[in-house]
Amino acid sequence: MNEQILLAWSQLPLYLTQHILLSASAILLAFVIGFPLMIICTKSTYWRNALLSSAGVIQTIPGLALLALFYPLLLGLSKITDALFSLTLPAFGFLPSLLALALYALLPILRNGVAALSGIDPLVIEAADGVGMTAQQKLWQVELPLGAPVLMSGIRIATVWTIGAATLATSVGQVSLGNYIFSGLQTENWVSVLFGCLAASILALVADFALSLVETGLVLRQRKRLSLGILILVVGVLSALVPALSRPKHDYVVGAKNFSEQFILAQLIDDRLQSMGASVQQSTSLGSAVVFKALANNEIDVYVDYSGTLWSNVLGHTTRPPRAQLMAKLRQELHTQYGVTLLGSLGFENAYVLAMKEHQAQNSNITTINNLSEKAPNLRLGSDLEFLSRPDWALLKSAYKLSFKSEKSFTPTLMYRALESDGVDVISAFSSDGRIQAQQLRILTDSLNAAPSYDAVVLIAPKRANDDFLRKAISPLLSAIDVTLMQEANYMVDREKNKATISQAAKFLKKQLVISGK
Amino acid sequence: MLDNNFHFVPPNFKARILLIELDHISKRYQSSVDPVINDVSLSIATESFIALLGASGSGKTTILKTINQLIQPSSGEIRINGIPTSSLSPPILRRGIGYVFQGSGLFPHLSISENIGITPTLLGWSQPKIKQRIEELLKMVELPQHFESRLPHQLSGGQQQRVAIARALAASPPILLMDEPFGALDPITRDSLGRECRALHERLKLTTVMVTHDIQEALLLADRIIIIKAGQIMADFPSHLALEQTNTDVQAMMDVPLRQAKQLQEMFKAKAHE
Repeated sequence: MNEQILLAWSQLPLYLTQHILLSASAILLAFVIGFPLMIICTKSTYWRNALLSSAGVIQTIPGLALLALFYPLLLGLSKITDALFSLTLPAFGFLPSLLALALYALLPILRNGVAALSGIDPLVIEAADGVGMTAQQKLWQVELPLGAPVLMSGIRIATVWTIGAATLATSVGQVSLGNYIFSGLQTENWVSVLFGCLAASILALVADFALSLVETGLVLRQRKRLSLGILILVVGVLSALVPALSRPKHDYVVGAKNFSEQFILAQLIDDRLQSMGASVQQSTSLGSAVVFKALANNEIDVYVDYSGTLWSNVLGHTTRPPRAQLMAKLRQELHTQYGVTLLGSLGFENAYVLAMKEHQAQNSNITTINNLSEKAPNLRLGSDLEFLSRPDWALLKSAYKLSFKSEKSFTPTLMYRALESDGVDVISAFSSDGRIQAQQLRILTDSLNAAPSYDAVVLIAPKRANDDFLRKAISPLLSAIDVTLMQEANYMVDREKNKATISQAAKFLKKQLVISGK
Repeated sequence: MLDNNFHFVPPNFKARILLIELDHISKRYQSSVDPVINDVSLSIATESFIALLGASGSGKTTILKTINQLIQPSSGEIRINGIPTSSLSPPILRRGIGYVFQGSGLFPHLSISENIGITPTLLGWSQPKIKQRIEELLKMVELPQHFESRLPHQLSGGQQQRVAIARALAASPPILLMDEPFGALDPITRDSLGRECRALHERLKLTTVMVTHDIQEALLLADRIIIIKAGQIMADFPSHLALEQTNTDVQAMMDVPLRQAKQLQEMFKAKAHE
């Protein structure tokens, strides 16, 4: 427990400063865009309706989806700008996060801005005309000062929202306080999740407090309040900016998707590279769809993916050649289509497997899926949220003519618990999951080889294709991790009691590799 | 560019023969069939104090607002000393004409001194000159100097109205337009402020146009009374000839204050005999 707090604490400077910079830039951008739009809105009802409803529509898009959408959008744009001006846009990390968050912050700023300007006493507006103000003078000397409190409350709402939503930027490769939350949720490390939530809410409260000083300073015309509010904001942003600017450029960026095994393997690769003297940055908790594109686009240098996923999701194949053949084709096609190098397999699979409690399987005399198919009509299947809609299930179902009494979906943790408490009889487990050993589950043999293979493979970015240093760092890991070892490492972080940190699990793996002489 | 052009008030504007002419002015809003003002022509001589008198909705305020272009007439022309006001940019025109709004119209976020100094500031006066002018004006409308830093809501209605008059007169305009300036005040304040206003009119040699619905106020302050009904001029006469008007509407209007005066007189006479 204590160790986890210390670990979280040590990550705070990086996560917090990145979070502050991202949020501050997004709000600033939203204000810069929103301000002229706000003026346009007060001039014409047509534009007011059009702009406010589009901003409203953007608001209804879930934050995570909006961020994910900006990624392909920027990739496409980048291709165009590259062709026209040979200028590539970073589609990963800061830029997509900034744009998505700014769009998100636009609505409260715009809506309150319009309300601020149109809610001013018409007599005061007429008086401004009457004393001889031009439209510009009226705007700056009367309308904006009088609308400032309402406009400021819009900015405050936008700020609190943005600081909250910025945690989602982790999924497109922008470091933020969301890193605590994403990795914590996956490994069920509630200390980490709470730490991230608390840090984000404290940041939001501080920013809101500073803005409230600015607001009341404007309303009450108290220069002291106003300056104190601005001072807090400026000092906050500057203290985030200085370390960010002075942060050294890293030699390698290691990517990871958002589950325990990925975190551990990224840490293992990180440790290997660092022990050889390179500086490394991790970009973890990336969306499944984002991570490969980021690699192909040279935005991360190396990560671990799974052969079956690459084969069907990246290359779009629907057929399933045998394991060895698939691996060879995969290597070749990834290289020709994306320039990505498949360095090799780590030695274990993380596939969907059907599993039962050992003693129940023994009692019912089930060791293979073939055995299962006879008894299935009396058994209940529990799966994770995806399995039932994936080709893996369709293949197994048709190959063994499986038909269960009932089929239920759970989050992975609940699925294992459902099996343990006899809520279901068979589950779609992950073959490298530590809980298979810990809960004494029997994996049913797929004698027809109907299920696709999911070998863990190391991929490296096109620009690293000939990087001997990277190859040398990774080669000791290839074919070195068997499934029981990975299960054990995964279980260290997944278990409920006595949870280990990611780096402890990575150290354990490394030690086992040394012991086995690799 | 506008700010440098503060010589709008041309030398001849201040000339003795200042004349405001409304030449066949009409105002019609698209939605309404009846025009708000209908073919109004009017000449206002220099240094005169005119009252535009009428019931609410008669169009009297609309006529007033066409003079400084707060409302653009649909047809007709307004000339000041022969210069069509439509040839000037509205802000420039308005800086040369003092305007007192119904219900003060002070800027709630600006201090009293900032409110008073607004037109001189827009005209680009130097800070010391503006400061001196504010002191003068506060004295002129009989407000203490320490009111400078207060905000409008910290003042009483009568005090706010004094500030509004000071603001209108800040840039020494030759013309003063007032829209029901004393409407929201208690009778005593109303009376004293009215008299002070008349005194200022004479002292500063202003040409004043005041909108009111109160004939007594019009009679006591203005030299000339113009009665507006349904957007048209119904009667136009010097104040001292009010009793000689043959128009029955005018007679009916005069009836109330005369009857009240007579009633009071008789009441006091009766008391004295008791």
